[in-house]
Amino acid sequence: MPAAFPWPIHQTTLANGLRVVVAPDPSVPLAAVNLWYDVGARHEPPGKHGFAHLFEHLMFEGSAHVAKSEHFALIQACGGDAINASTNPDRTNYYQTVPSGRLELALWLEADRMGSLALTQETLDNQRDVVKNERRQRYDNVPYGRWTEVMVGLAYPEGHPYAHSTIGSMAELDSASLADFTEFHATYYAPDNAVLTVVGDVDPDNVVALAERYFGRLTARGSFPAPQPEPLPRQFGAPCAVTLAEDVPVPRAFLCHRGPAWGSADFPAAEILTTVLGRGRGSRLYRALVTDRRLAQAEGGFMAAWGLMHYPSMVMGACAPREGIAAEDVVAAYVEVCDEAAQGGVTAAELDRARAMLTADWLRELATVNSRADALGQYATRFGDAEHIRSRIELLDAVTEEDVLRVAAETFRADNRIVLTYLPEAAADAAPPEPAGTEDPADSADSADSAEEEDAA
Amino acid sequence: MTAEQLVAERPEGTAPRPYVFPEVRRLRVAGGEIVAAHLPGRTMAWAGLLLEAGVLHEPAGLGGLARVTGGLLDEGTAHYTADEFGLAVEGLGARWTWTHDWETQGIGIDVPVARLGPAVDLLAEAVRRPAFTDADVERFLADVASSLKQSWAQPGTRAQQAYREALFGAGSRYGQLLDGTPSSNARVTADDIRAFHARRMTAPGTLLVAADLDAVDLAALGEAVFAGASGPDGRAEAPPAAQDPSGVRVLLVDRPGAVQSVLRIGHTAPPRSTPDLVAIDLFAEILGGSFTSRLNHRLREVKGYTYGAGASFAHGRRIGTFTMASSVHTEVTADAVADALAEIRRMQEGGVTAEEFETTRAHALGSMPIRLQTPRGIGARLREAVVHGLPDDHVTREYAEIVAAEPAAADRAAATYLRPDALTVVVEGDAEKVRAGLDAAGFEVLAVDPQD
Repeated sequence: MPAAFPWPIHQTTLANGLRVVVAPDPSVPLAAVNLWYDVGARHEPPGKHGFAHLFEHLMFEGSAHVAKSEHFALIQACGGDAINASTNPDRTNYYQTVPSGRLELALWLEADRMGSLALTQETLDNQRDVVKNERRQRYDNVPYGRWTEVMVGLAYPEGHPYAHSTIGSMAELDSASLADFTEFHATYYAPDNAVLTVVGDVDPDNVVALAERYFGRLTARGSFPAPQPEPLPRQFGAPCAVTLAEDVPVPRAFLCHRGPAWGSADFPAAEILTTVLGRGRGSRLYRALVTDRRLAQAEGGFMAAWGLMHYPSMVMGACAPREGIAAEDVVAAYVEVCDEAAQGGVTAAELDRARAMLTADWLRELATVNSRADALGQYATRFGDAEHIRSRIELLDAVTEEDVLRVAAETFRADNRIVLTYLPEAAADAAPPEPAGTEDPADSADSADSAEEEDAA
Repeated sequence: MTAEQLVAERPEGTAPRPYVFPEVRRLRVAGGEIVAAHLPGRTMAWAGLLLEAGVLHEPAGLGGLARVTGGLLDEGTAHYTADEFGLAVEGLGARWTWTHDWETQGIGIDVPVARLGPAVDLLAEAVRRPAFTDADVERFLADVASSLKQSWAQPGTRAQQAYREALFGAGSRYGQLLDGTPSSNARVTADDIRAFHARRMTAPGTLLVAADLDAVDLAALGEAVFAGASGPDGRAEAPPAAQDPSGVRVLLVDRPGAVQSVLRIGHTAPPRSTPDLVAIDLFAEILGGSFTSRLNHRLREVKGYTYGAGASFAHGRRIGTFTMASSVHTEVTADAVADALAEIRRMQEGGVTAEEFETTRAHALGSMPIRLQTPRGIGARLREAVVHGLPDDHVTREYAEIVAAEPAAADRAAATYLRPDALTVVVEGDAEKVRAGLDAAGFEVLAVDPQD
């Protein structure tokens, strides 16, 4: 296998705290320009869920020297592409890839919106409508659309930074005022809360000089309010099963276990574990539930380690019964596979397969300058040093069978499991009543959340 | 923070270097042809076998047969059980890639270049020696049935079915979804699958490779894939020509309780062989191709009706389509339809502005290398060359054509290939809530219920 990250990395911090990461690659005539702001849905107070994401939309609505929609227009007009932004619970990123000769334009545009925001009631109202349609399209108008929102409401205690949705509720979006967003910009959008990454056919000294020219006069903020939640125990502490009767075509169960955070010591073992158990045609869950026992429908993936960074994350999964099979039977079989791993671990051959898959994934991720820049931004933000990206393959290779067994045993426990089952309304009507103590989170609009990203375009 | 801290003057920069598609090599070996793009230094590689085995080759009434046959190739072979095959592919760090359309299927594998040889051996095993055991077929068809049930419950699927049927007629294969309906799939048997494979997937086909060719033994890849292959590879018969409707009509597909309406608006279009391809793609990009397009600007950025709106031409080998698509808030459905129709008409009548044309041209040129960074992406352009009989450097030529294009050509293409008076509009939404608005806007509205 080739080196984990064969490109040079140059890192500089400007006097105002902006971290600049440059990874030259003269093999393409491009420059990927990527900004990670260390602010996400986790910073939103109660009643203002969805605001970080709505704010991300507003960053395309103009700044001191850039008109509404002009960011997109100017990047495209210079031959750029792969332009967008996304918000998740941890962070907000903004990115574009341009012909390398147009690097300066991309830096100018990003600096202008870091340093200023041209916000009007009209643009806020417009983007509020857009985001409400985004919510309808992704959550409210599709079967099972709200499952992540419901699940994180169950997986984190009320008020925890990860316990609410990135998209926010309709009521919260309706309540957003101009002042919310000017304040949000003033609080979090500052050079010392961001990492600027440039990858491609560029000269590091030139990139730093340009960063200095366009971002250098922006003022450092010094400190940024951050949530201070109580530390979470390794397990949820009690089993949880919730059933929802909705207009869905077939029953479907979603399973969540508390798991290690991205960047923590156990995360590589969690990735290996979930790849062995739940990812791909050769995974244990596929073979046991689909091929062997014919209980579940085929899935692209039965299980994955979600990569939330700041607090314990989740091992998330899903399964659906074949026709004629009860949902609880497929869930029971799923749990059996988890229990088996918790007791017996995984084999050396399974470890090798998972490593081969994850290593090739890494090569795919690094294959484009845009995703390479985003990965560098993540490592620089999480560890304060982008060089940590070089350890990716080494850390996967260092995972032992014992590590996987330990993480499996800590993760796959009855007191660390949430099962959220959707049943078609008609079938649910005919089913016996739910056991006492089952709550229906669909009734509490603010218990929602999603860890999925929301894009501007 | 104040504006004084910012640089007011927008920097210019230098123009992009012209794009040149990677060197393509052709090689005939063991009765088949290899078309390979050389990507020096790349750690990932892609290979795919292209066969004339698209859905137009399905016997009537068996919509979905091509898809299930292709999907079953890696579900058990002469030498591997279905599970073993999955483990073998994944043990190489490989990803199975499979695509299909009206005319062809492409069975591919995306893998670190050092393992391309064993990966192509697996590809050959799947395509040439599938087992199609009764047990695997039964299991796979049950999964397909369930996944179709779910996709037919998603907003948009029934709209798309109604749209295709309106454009091409219920009797045409083009008038159905690519993968058929739940009921046409339910008719497919294991014998149909074996027969389709024997009839359509035993020809040598064309092996496409995108890789660092210095690290690859192309002839050996060809030997693995072509050995013993000798089936028919003729093209499918073209479905009969479709007639334009005499006026704009709205077909309403009921989705009770929907909070958004799915829109599909369009008509048929010329095949990819049209000499006006570049001119069509340029005006279509301005109309509905990018974030800054007229449709997205009006429906999203000005009106806030939607999360996104767009339109594009699909260029098939024999025929194409022009389609505008969006999902809009239920309350604004009729207004959104009217706005979309108005933008299509404005483009047809007035063409593009000089500024729109220049920025779109620059974007089309500059974004080429951005969109072609991966072996798999390069492989897709090789596939296009083979499917449509284009020269090896067709992407480089396309670049030159875009450089030379004139706004007047885009205007002429818009005037010719947009037909605002023959548009079919499909709305899938809550009929009770949207019907009155559509009637009031003066549309001829017809309720339809696409059958699965």
